[in-house]
Amino acid sequence: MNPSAQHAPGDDVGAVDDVALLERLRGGEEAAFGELVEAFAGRMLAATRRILANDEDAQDAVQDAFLSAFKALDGFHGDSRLGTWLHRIAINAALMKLRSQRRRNEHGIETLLPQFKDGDGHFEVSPRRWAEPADDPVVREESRAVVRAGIDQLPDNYRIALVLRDIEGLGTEEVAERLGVSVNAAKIRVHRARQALRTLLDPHFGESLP
Amino acid sequence: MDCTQFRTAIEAIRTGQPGAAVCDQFRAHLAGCPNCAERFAPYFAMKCSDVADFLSNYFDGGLEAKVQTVFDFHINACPECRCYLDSYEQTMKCARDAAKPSLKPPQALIDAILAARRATQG
Repeated sequence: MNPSAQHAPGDDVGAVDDVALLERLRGGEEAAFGELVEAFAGRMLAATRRILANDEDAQDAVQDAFLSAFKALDGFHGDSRLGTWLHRIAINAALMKLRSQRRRNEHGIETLLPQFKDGDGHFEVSPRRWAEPADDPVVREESRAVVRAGIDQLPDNYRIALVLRDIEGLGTEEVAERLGVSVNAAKIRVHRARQALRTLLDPHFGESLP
Repeated sequence: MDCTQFRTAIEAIRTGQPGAAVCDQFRAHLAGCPNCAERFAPYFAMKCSDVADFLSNYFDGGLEAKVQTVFDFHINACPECRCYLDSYEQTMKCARDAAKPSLKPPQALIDAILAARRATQG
């Protein structure tokens, strides 16, 4: 149940032999750089696109990330998988780009949070049970599109926190570091983002209690 | 539900999730019996609003043992909070599941990256 226990999207490019590829990269073999980019650019692009608002910026971030990685290759000691390392660099590049841009959609999130009655602390509106995920692949893909649209509706500062924690698989401390906020503030931001996303998805997944 | 049955219900809730009927009777007795409400007050220290605040820590495994006990009791006794907890967990799963693991990078991007690398090599 712990999101941090999930694999990050960059973790599982199993076909790549990290040790052999690293050796060729450090030897300056041109073809090795081509293989590295071919193997990992797609996953890195997916990650940067989740953070940035458009394809062009996401591609720029991937290019920045690869150039940073090429420079840092000698300092990479294989403490993590190559894919994980590149994934982290891509996220950093995307966040740097985001910081340099004027933020969009920075409104509050209060209207999407659950409301409670003063005094007894009960829900103002009873939460509904959610349907189990559908087996039908077409319906599942429709649901995924609804979820992606819901995530896009979140204010940026909350959306990024949720993306880093629940999708990119960063730990809370790492999310705090990347966002430049305290661990507690990061925790609250992720929690509120989940609550808000839950509210946005409720019309799609919610069923009435019997 | 009388006070004896209420104590039995407390045990049932501590160890599992009894049906909605038991929870309704349990709540009705609690509202009408100040003695039981006072005697078992620690079990009711948490409100639905508190449960919602603790959810993130709950899923991170970060609740202190004492808080965890009261949290679990509330969840077992409160169908609304159970629904909320389940849908909160499903929200996290949906977010992960909805993410596209990979996007096809345009060939122009790959070419640009490799060209930029060659340029930095002089």
